[in-house]
Amino acid sequence: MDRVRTRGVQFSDQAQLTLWMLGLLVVVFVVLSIVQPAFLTQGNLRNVINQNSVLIIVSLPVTMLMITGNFDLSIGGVIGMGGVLAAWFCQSVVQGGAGLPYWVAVILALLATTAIGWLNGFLVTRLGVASVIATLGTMSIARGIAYIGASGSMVELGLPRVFRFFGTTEIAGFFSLSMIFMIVAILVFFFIQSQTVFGQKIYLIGANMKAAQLSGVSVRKQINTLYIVSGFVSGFAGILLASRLGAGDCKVGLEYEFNAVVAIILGGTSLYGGRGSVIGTVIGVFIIGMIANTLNMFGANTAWQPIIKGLVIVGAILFQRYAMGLKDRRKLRLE
Amino acid sequence: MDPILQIQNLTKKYPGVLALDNVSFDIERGSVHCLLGENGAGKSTLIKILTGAQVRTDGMILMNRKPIDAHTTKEARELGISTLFQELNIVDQLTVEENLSLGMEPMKFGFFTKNTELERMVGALKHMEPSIDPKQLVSKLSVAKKQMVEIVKAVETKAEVIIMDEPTAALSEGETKRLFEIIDQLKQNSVTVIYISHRLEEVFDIGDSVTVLRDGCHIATKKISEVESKAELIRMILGKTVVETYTPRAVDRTTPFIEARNISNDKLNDVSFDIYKGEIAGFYGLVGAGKTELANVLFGLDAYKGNLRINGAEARYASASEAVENGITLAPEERRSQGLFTMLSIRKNIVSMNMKKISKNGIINASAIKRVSGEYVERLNVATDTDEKEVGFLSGGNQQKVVFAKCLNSEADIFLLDEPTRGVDVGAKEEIHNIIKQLADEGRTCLVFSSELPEVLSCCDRIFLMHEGELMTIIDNALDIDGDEIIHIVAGGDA
Repeated sequence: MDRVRTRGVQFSDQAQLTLWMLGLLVVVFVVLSIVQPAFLTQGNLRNVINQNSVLIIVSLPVTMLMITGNFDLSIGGVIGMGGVLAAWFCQSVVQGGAGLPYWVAVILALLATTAIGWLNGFLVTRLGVASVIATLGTMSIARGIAYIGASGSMVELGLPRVFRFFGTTEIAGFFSLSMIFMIVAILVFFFIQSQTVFGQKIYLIGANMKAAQLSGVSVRKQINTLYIVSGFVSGFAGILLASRLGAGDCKVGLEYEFNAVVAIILGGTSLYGGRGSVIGTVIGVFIIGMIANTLNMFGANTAWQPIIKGLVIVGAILFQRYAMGLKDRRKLRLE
Repeated sequence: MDPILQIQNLTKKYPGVLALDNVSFDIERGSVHCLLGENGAGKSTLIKILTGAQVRTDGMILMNRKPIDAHTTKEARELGISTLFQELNIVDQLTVEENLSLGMEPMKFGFFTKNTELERMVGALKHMEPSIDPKQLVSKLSVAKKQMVEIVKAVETKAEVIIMDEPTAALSEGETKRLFEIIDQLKQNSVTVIYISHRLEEVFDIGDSVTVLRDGCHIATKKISEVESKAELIRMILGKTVVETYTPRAVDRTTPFIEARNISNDKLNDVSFDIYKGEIAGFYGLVGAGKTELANVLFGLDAYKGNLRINGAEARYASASEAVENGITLAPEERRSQGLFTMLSIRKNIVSMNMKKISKNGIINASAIKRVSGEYVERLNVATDTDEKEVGFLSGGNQQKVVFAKCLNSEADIFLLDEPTRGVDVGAKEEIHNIIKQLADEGRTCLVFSSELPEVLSCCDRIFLMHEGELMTIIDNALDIDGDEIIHIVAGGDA
């Protein structure tokens, strides 16, 4: 049979999907700019980036876990727990806190959230619990710890002044610290994903776990590491959000796991592992973030947003299946 | 002659594969008809077509001299063809009685009504095996008893033909005997049994006639009384035992490289051998002889009792990654599900087993990946226009070459090659055999685990004959080797 060469530059499936999504981002951007002129102002765009920076940070390790074929639904609870613990550890003793220096509080909070990540890894790789169930359980545990630490509401009185440092510092009058952290995190995770052995192994595990194991990949170690990183990063995100709020609120981080999964899938990461990219996830977060932002400006009832998010996730999966199906059919014809 | 089933010119094509090629034979009413063949010979395809799970491409099936055309297993059952699958078709969470009544549940106004048919079935089951309580949960029953429940169900729903797919695979000796008694009873009630098994002794025990398939073709249908010996059956199953050509190779046999002493686990029994550096050792035996299990032990996947030394040092690896680090590599039997990342590119597959070679301090070097991959694609002659193509789109032979490239790139000293040419066409087979010889010439030690005699005869220096987990004997390969003698040994005869 004749072999037909694809004309022009060849992209891998992954790159192609990311390009599609980038295209979609541009289209959404242009449409929103036209229908809502207030969208395209420097202040608003900064707002969109700043508001979504924390979601992007926590979604990056979760993206890698999903490429290996594992979920992490605990991040929302862990964010709440990290913020509340950081606040409680440095809250003055008079107000019922532990009265420790802020930097000690931050380290202790991060240790606690990292431990949740370790527990996720243990449940999934050692005890063989399905990752959705295991991390759903630890999400609830982490949220429970946040409720206990904040006595069901907030840790806000008797916090040191430095507690607000992460959330209020600005650089060059434009960048918030969380935006800086977001940029650094994107660069680091993109580097790990595309330039390191660790990153390559993530794809091997997701593509075929048994074959990865037989090829000498330490599958357990790899997945454990990712869960631990995810626990650490979510805890850090919780500390950022608490600092922005000036209090450790036990309800902070609700639905982050859901928003993260929506954005990750929208960004082209396969639910079954083996395919995906952190850049895709960044695009996914911004598509949803920009739509939500514009809806807000139109004064749309906040109740509509979950419905739209739901439609976006189902639509995105159907679209991807269609796009990949098209490609596979084309390839088969070429065989 | 009173055939219940007549299979005429049956053909089944899958994309790129001819699974059944113009197969014709008759099955006598009330007989036990054995179906034999290696994995991939076409047995399961034939069964799937008979039971409506697959649609034939061409040909006809006559039942009671009338053409039949089942499109679902339910239709096949209504025609009177029932199947006892290896994975029994029985619901563990229900009671015996509920399982028997599944699919017939007579209802009135949405309520179950009293069921005389069920009572008859329960009676029949009591008659066959009094120890089964109909109110008992099926999950509590042994495999043998579950089979009986299925058999009763098949017989009482007026099955004229019952297909049994390796029914004794999980049975003890006593249970097997009991099953054979039941099969005898079925025969007396003129039920026809199509019997599939890898255990050739059983064919002589209960078979009336036998059909052998090989590579999708019908080889022979014979009465058991006309079959001379087990060896004759094996010859039919495996095909002609003509050797490609074995060229004797010089192997330095002063110090052994791999020393195995009394290796035992639940699948292996007291296996001991020495293998020398640069040698090609062929482990030959039928399905279930313990070849894959031995490979698993060497690769750190299965635990074992006994002593294993490689290059003088004790080799007891806790995991595959430890084995890989110690210079062992495995090309697994199940290529697609265990050996390859079919959704990833050829390039990524080739470098997957040795990331150190393409990285420095954990950071990968894209041009090194390209170079390494290109080198092996060329060396092994993988037919593809670009090494960025997904492996899933390659043919079986080319996929196996990618597996070999992956193993080669690991720069291992010991190559464990489990069924290296299964599902590979003839041309690619010879190429792969040449690659193995090259590897050995470079001083690497190759262990070939194969159920194809021509394969071990054509490329292995010594042949290790295995039967039911035991190493029977080791033969030096030579041009005048007696294939029949080997077949006699792996079938369980004296060495």
